[in-house]
Amino acid sequence: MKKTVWKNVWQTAVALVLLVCLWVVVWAIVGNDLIVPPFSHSVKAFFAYWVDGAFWRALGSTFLRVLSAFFASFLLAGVLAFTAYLRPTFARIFAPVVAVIRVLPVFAIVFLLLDWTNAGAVPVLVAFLSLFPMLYTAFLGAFSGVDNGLVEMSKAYCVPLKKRITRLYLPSVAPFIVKEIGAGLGFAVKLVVSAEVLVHTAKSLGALVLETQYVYTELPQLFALVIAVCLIGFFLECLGVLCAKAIERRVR
Amino acid sequence: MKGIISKAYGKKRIFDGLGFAFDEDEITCVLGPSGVGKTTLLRILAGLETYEGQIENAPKKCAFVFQESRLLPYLTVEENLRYVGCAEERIEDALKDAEIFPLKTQKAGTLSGGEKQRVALARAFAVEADTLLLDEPFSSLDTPLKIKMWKVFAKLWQAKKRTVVFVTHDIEEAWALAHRVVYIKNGEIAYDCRVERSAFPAEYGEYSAQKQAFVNALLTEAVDEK
Repeated sequence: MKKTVWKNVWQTAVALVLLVCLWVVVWAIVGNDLIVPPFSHSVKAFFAYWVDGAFWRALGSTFLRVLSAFFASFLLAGVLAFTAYLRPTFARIFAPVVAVIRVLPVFAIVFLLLDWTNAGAVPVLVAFLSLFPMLYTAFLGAFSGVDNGLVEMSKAYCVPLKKRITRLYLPSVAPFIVKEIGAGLGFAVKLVVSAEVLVHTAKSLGALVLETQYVYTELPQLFALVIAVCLIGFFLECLGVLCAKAIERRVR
Repeated sequence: MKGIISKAYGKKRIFDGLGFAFDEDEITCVLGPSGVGKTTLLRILAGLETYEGQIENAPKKCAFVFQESRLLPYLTVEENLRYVGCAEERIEDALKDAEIFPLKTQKAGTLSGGEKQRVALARAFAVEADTLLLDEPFSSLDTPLKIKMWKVFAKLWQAKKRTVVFVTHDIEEAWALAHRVVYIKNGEIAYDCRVERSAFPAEYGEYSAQKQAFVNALLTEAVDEK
């Protein structure tokens, strides 16, 4: 276990070093600080944000949007997928709805969403609409993969539904859901920040990105923010995987 | 428990007014060729299949032992028994009767095939149910293990008698364990007899004129059909 953790840390460190090397090489080839800023300037700008209260407020509100969008879509997808699994009629009726949401060009209707709601809610809605069909399909696949023999045995012995959910369904789908939590959280960060940039959500990382890019045209700051967003995504992915593994250990 | 039932899967009719009666606290073995509907009958009794007709004194709660053990692999043996609603005081007794008490804290996924089937049997006897349904529970076991399992089954049944419907392909098994043997053919009961034997369970391969007559009848029929 410890060996695997160290192996992962070591491999991640190598990947990061390679990325930095790539940045430096591209910067050297381009030779224009207005197109690719030097790595050292971006790192300096990144640490400058650490003492900036506005950055932390923006980070906090973006973080909250990411978590709300993810957990809303996660819970709704879980409940609806379980209903669809138990009631095939519901699954058939709901399938076209999911298909429509899946192919919906969310960023194309972002301004429509803005008309209906506000700039604070749109990033959450955008992330929700993108994550929900993905998670619903994953949940439904996981529920369909539950051992039918065990389901039948539970019916024969009249095991109450609550017990079936906690002792049979959740432990059976946990390994599949673990992966979705990590990847879904990372994806949610990407979606929320992109939507924040599009609709100019106040006090958000997206708004900071927009300001540095178009108002101040400060490229090192922009790259520093991109680094920050990547780190949040990475952190949430790791957190998601750890939480999901803890849940898996608990239910299995 | 008795009834008259009909059952069809699409156009394929399995039973068309099959009449049956299973006596209380007795073991009835159901024999018959493959595809005749033995498992379907058990599934109907367990409420896992719909049917036409009626069943009088239908079981309120069944215990079911399947061909495979159907245990939750990530739960321990005792947790598997608790999962189906076995009372705490019955769990210990059933595990002792099935001679698997030392395995009670072991995860079901780590057990051998024979041990798993013992747990499945213990689970069926530990749960509060009026009828026990068994669908070829020992068919995948080798003969020595199967004979051991007959003994375990007999011990468990004697400790807690109940109505048992036992589907098997094995005539030896039927004569070793049953009070009554029923043979289903072409959707109806073609043979029905009360078993005569010296012990419960009978010794493997023990000679019985009744069993021999039944085997002869089956063989003659098979030859006639050919």
